[in-house]
Parts: sequence; C-alpha cells; structure tokens
Amino acid sequence: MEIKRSFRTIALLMMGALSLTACSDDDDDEPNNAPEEKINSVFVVNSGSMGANDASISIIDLDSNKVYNNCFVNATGRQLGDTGQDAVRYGNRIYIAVSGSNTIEVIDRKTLKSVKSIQPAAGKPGSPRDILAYGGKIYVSLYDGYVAKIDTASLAIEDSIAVGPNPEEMTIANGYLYVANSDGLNYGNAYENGKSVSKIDLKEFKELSKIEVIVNPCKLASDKDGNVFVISIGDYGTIPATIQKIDKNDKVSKIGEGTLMACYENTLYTINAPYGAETIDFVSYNTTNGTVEKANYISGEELPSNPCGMNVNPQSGEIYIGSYDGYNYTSDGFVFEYSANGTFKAKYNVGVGPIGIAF
Amino acid sequence: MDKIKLTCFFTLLSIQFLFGKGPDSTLPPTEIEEVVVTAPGENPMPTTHTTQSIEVKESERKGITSVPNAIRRMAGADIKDYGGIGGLKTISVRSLGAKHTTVTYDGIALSDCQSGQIDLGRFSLEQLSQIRLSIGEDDNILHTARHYASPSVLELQSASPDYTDKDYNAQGKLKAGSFGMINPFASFDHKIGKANWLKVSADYLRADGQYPYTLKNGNIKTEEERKHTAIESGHAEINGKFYLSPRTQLTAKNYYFTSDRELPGQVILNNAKENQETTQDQNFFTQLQLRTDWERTTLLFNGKFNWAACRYYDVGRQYPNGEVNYNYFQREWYGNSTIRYKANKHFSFAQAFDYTFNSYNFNAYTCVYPKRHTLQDALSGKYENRWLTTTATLLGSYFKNEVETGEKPKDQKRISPACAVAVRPFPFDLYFRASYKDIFRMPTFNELYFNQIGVKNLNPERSKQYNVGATYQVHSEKAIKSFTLSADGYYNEVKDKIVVIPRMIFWSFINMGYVETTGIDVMSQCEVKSSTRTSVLLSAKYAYQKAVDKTDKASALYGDQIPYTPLHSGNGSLAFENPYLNISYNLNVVGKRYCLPQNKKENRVAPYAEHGITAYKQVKFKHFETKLRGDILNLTDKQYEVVKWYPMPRRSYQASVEFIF
Repeated sequence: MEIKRSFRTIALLMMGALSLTACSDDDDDEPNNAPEEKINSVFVVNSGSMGANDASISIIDLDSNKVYNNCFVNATGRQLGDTGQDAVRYGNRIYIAVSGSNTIEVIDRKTLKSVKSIQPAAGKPGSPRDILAYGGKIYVSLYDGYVAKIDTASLAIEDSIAVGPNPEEMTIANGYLYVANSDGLNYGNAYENGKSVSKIDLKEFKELSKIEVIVNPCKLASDKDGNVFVISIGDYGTIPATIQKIDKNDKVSKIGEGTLMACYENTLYTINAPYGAETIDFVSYNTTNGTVEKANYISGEELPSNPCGMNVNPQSGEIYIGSYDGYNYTSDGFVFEYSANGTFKAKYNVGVGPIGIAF
Repeated sequence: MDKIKLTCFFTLLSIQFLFGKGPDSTLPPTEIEEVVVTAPGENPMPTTHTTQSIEVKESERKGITSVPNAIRRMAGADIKDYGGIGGLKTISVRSLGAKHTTVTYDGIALSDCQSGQIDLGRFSLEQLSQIRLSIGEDDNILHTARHYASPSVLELQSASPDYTDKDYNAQGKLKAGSFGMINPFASFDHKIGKANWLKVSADYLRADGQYPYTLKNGNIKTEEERKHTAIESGHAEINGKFYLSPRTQLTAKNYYFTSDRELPGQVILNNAKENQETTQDQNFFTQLQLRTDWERTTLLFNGKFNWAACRYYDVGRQYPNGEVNYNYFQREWYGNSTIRYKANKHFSFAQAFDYTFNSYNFNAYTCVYPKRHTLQDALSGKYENRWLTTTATLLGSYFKNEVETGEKPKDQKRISPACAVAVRPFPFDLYFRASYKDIFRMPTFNELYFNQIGVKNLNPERSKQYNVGATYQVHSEKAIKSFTLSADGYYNEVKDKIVVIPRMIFWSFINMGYVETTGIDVMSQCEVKSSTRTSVLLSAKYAYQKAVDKTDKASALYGDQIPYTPLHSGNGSLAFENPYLNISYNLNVVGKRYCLPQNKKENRVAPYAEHGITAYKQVKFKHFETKLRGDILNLTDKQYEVVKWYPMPRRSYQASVEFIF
C-alpha cells in the first residue's frame, strides 16, 4: 500500500512539475475605515501574538451589527504595537494599555485619532497591563510591580505605588482599588510572591493591605454591592484555576473553578477553559451567596472554541466572549455575542487574541 | 566539569602519544579515500541523488562571505537569518526547518539537544574545504546511523593540508568590515613522518553591530539604529590525522567555541526601551574517527564527547529581584561502529550502530534533569553498475528517556525506511534519480522539558519525502569548460508537526500540524573560458515551494502557505576572472512570505533582492602568496527582513588580506 502510494506520488510529482502553477490566495481586503462616533458599540483590544507587533483594535457597531477591524492603524496611521491588553472609555477619550510596547495610547472617542501616547520614562516602572477609570483618574497596573495613576487633564503619570510582583487585573469596589499580584514571571520559584490581592486606598493612593489568596491571581471583578471576585490561575500543575470571593471584611472563600469571568448586577459569569481540557464550562454564580445560578448560561452549537476574554454589556446585560480560532493562536479570532438569557446572537471576525472587551 | 577536563586531557594525550611515536606508513595517503565525505572531484554535482557540494576555494568566485551564505547557494536550502553580525543563522531544507537537518563536522553529527538546531554562524569558512548537502537518501553507505536519521544532512568538511612541496603550512588572514567587525584567523599545520599531520587553527570575531535601518510603522517611516548588538567570539581547533598502519587511519578533532553577545531582540513598535538580554555560549567537543580498509571490508569507529553551556541574562523590574539569570548545560556522549562489506563489484552492504547519551539541566526548580539514551541501527544495501545505482536503508531507532523527578516522557521505537535509485541511461552524463524517505525528528529537550513550557507527552514529528530529478553535465577542454543543469521535483509531508501555542503568558507545544510541500529545485553552473587568460563562471539556483497547512479543513488556515516559505526564490552569481582584478557579482531574490501561519496582508514579509560584489586578487611571491579581497554587501542599500522585525543591515563593506606560507 505504502509503496504503491509512493509510486503514485512520484508519478503525480512528475506531472505536477510540468504544470507549474502558482496560485496566490492572499486576501487583499480593502482598508476597513474606522466608524464615526459609535456610542452603542463594543471596543475590542486584540492582543496579537507576542513579539509580532500585531495588536489591533476592532469596533463592533451594535446598531448595524458590523465589525470594523484595524481601527487604530486606520485612524492614527501608526500600528498599536505589541501585546495589547485592555482599554477603557472615559469622558471623550479611550485609553488603551499595550504591555509589549510599554505604552498607554490615548485616542479620541469620536475620531479615534491619537491624543497622546503615554510612555513611562526610561528607568521608571512600565509594561501596562490592566486599565480602569475612576473619579477623574486612570489607573494602570504595571507588570513591573506598580500601579500608576494618570491625570486625565495632563495625560501624564502623576503618581505610582509599588504593589506585589507582576500585577495583573484590577477592580474598584467599596471605594478601594484591588490589584491581583500574580508574580507570574517567577515560575522558577513557583510564584512564591504571587499569593495576594493588594487593597489600595484611593484618596491617599497607598496600599492598605495584602489579602491572601490562592497562588497566581490574575483576574478581578466586582459587583455593585462591593463583592470582589478573584481568579487565581494556579501553578498549571496540581493547583487548578480557582474563583474566590473577597467579601467586605476581606474574608476569602472559594466559589469554583474558572479561567475567565465578568460581573453583571448580581451575577458572576465564568468560563472554565483550562489548558488541555476537553470541555469548556460556562457557569454563572450568584454574587451574594456564591451559589450556582446556571450550570450552562450559554449552550448549543455556537460556542467559543478557545475563549481568551469576556465582558457583559452594563446597559443590556448581553454577554461578549472573545476567542481564538481553536488552537490557531496567531490568526484572527472571534467575538461571540449572546443575549442576557444566553441565546446566541452573532459571531464577529476580529483580530488576533481578542482579550480586552470594553463598553 | 572534571569529566570534561579529563576528556580534554586524554584527547590531547592520545594526540601527543601519536605525535611522539610517529607513523611508519608506507602507503601514500592518496590511496585511501577520504573518510565519509567523498573526495572533491571534478564535478561540482555528484553523479547520483540530490547531493551537492560547494568547494570553499571557490568562495571568492561566487562572492561567498560566510558559511550560511554558502549554504544559501545550494538548491533546496534556505537560511533563517535574524540579522546582524553574530545573530543566529540556521538552515532550512525544503521548508522543513532547522530541526530536520543533521549537520555533521568531519563526519560526526553536531549536537544541540536543547534547541535541536545548529547555529551555522559559529563556523568559519577558513576552517573548511567543502560543504555538502544531501537531501533524502545518500548514495554513500559508509556512514554513521545518525546520518540516516533526518530528511537532509549538511556536511562540513575541514581542510586537509597539502604537503606537495614543504612539510608545513601557515596561513594568516585578517578580515574587517562595517559595524566594527574585525575577524582575524590563523592556522599552522605540520607533517609528521610520511603522511601524518597536526593542525592548529583559531579565529576571533568582534563587532559593535550597530547599524541604521528604516522602520515602517503603519504609514510612518523613521530612521532607527539597531542597538545592543555587540558580539565577541572565539573559535579554536586542533585537528590531526595519523596512520596507525597502512590500512588504518585515525582522525582527531578538538573544537572550542565561545561567544559573548548582546541580543538586540526583535523591534517592538512604539517602544523606546532598549533590549537588555545577553547570552554567553560555550561549546567544546572532541571526536575521534578510526578507519580500517581491507580488500572488501571497511570498518569505521567514531567517538565523541560534546559539552555546551549557555548563560542567558536579562534585567528588568518585572523579574523577581530585578533580573533573570539562567544557565543551561548539555552533554553528549556518542559512539558508533560501521562496517561495510563489498560482496562484489556491484553489491555492497553496511551496518551502522550508534549509541548517544544526552543530558541537560538548568538552574530552576522546574528542571527535572532529563537524560536520553538513543540506540540507532542502520542496515543499508547498495547495488551499482555502469548505468544504475540503487540504495536502500532501514533505520531502527530506540529512545529511552529518564528524568530525576516526576513523570518521564514515553520511550519511542521506530523503523524508518528509505530508498533511492539513479540511472545513467546514455553514454553521456545525464542522470535520472528518484528517492523516498520516511523519517522523523524527536522533540527537543526544550520542547519536552523547558521551564513551564515543555510538554512531556509530545510525539516525534514524522516526515515523508519523495523526490525525482535529473542532472546533466558536460566537461570539455573547449570554450565551455563545464556545464551542469540539475532539476528536482519533490513532495514532502510532515505529520504531528510540533506547533508553538501560548498558554497565558507562556508558550507551550502540541503535536497538531500537518503540512504538505510540493516543490521544484533547479540549479545550473557554467564555466566559460572566454579567452586564454580570462574565464567566466555563472551559477544560479531557483526554488519553488508550495508548503501548505492541511491540519484542519474547518480552520481558516487550511491551505495557507506556512510561515517563512517563499513560493519563489533564487540566487545566482557571475564571476569574471582575469589577470588583473577578478570580479564577481551575486544576487539573492526572495519572494513574499508570511511571518505567521495566517496568509493575511498584515503578516506579509516583503520580497527583496539583495546584490553583492566581490573583487579579489591572488599574488604569488617566492615564499608565500597573498590573497586580497573586498566585498560590498547589499549593494543597492535595500532595507529588508529575513525574519520579521529583525531588520537586516543595508549596504555594508568587508575587506580581507590573507597570507599563505
């Protein structure tokens, strides 16, 4: 059989060599122009593949259900850079954290034109990771171990404070800023300093305490009642990715297992897609008592194959999940849209690694 | 470390011993064929199979500036170049990637069990006499078993001294070039007794490596400079050849390489921060070959010890205590015995048995101190007559893995067949050939064990190669001194391709890819005696490679060309030799490629053409001769990339002066 096939291949090869046809199937799509002002839209930060300078912005227009890709480069004439993380719309501007390029890009909300590219000064802590806005300030976690405060008028870093090593996501609850200290680069020592969430007083801009959690905390979310939820990714070995709740008295309790989450009113939507797992779980919890609301808040045919980011529209309660195209981590991904009750609505083609979804 | 010292000591001791004793050979060395590599003959293209060679003495005529630059001229071969002086340069044959090519130095495989690829920038052209590339099955069956264990073999052959008119040779060369490059080389060898010799050689390289480049970011073009690029490296060898008896020859090789490099890293857009990474590499190996030739039987024994260390250092606030400092060590013990028996004029058989032991460790708690024992046995048969050569090989491999803690990767066993046939149906030099090879590569130690990212249950990457080709060549005393035209069509498939995937902030590997490649390689060379004192040498190659991802029909990537594989590429050189100043011109053209698996506009790497000019002259004096050479590289000042975000230097210059005594 094998030999027969080999001969056939050689014969085919001889014929193939004669008919040298070079077909180029390169998609030469037309430039996708950024939309005009779109308040009713989803702002997607595509991380790109690390070291490939292919971070990008996609905007989903919720009125026309149309997606616009490469919005940043189309509006500014400049590429977003390497490893986009997250964005926040605040006032008439949008702030984007780009960790590989070590920049915080500030763009106009309407025109998407660049207002300023904030770069931490040489020698100063950098590598912006997560970004949020509160009380006239922008807060950015810096992977170098700090949280920076940006003044929205001067667009300069006005202060920064040290937190734990390699901070990831942040959330604001009860007037405090919570930051997950992952120690994610200390794999050589089992993330030994990554077992806490820093609680920061915003008036003094100073760390009040470090709340002890399971190793390698990365994700943070909070509900309107001030309950804080943290996902510790664990050690990729015996300790699984775990969702924990931090109550108002900083008491930590385990809720379940998960790798991504988003809060909407009193519901915590979670996704558990640990590396190498056969199935992906979509479990929602009640944020007050931590009980399971729905074992499968979304189901059916149209499910993300490899989720990497999620958020819930605070206006409508619609669920948005960013996903890679299966194992193709370097090619364009998708954003899946579901109604508040879990019905599939749309699948949008976006850039590589849609990890940051902002409203 | 003690083991290494001991090995060095014994190797030197054995050379000393032989040196002291002196040979009493009566057989002229020319009667014994060169070990492993066929003697460089008249023909640049050997008669059977897809094998080609480049004589290093031809390097001026072809404008060859380095070992990677020479390899690039060979049909089917490509160099992945991260730019700059001292940057990593690896070979890829027919889109299979560096891990699928075995690189041998004087007949014994070079090893890097950690990364599975050999940095060809570490070898000096001055140390070599010939570079040879065999794709698929080789027609020479006197080899180690490891020689059969990959889809292609690149053989580096060091220069053997010539003692026609004196008992020693001495050579000194100084090369200098743009970006602060200084590269001296010296060698000395002496004949011992009638046919034995000992040779010592060394070279040193330093460069600042800072060069300007144009950066394109969206619609904006800026002038930038490559920074953090300094390199300093040294390389020394002690080689010798000794006749233990008229029939038995012993070849010894000791190699040491050291380098200290700043890594510029890839260009990161919108980022003013300079890269801080540095690496320090050291590699030592010692190898011995013993060969005995009887009437019908040839015995070959090879032994080698290899040690390599790499220190990686980076500073930054993101790291624990503000820095990372990793030290990687790898060792290899290797032994081989090969027997070849020529039953009659037509039939010969060979059996090669190899044992390899690899160990690897680094300074992190995740290190499991892996070890690998490899047993390989190759049985080959060859039939040849005036118009036909055919070979068949069956390679059996067994891999046993060991770790000190935790679960160990499963052991692997495999049988790999290969066969080839070449026909010369007419009384002139026109050959037709066909070959088939089924082979695999084991996951590297990085893929299995590296910090967090290694995956222990990885399977080998399997490949199948089919090739058909033809070569036509003529030699004459007339105006056209020689002409060669060779063409091959091939089909490769790679199953269980090991693909990198990110997992949170780390990378990881899975066996998932399936790639099919259809390609054509064409090569031609022509030497014309244009007048009594002038000649013209023309050589060219063209490659067509359609290497497509056929992993998953449902995926958007199905049918896309794999990264860094141009559909069309080629190069050529033209030399005009005359009594005044010899000039050669070379051109390398590479079509568009993609830097990532998805064939979209954003991932495109622009096509480029790079031109070069070499001027050279050889002057003979009474007691010595001098070679002068000057090169202009990238004559048209083209800004291009071989690897995306690693810009290559624009126009640059090199000059060298060489004295041969």
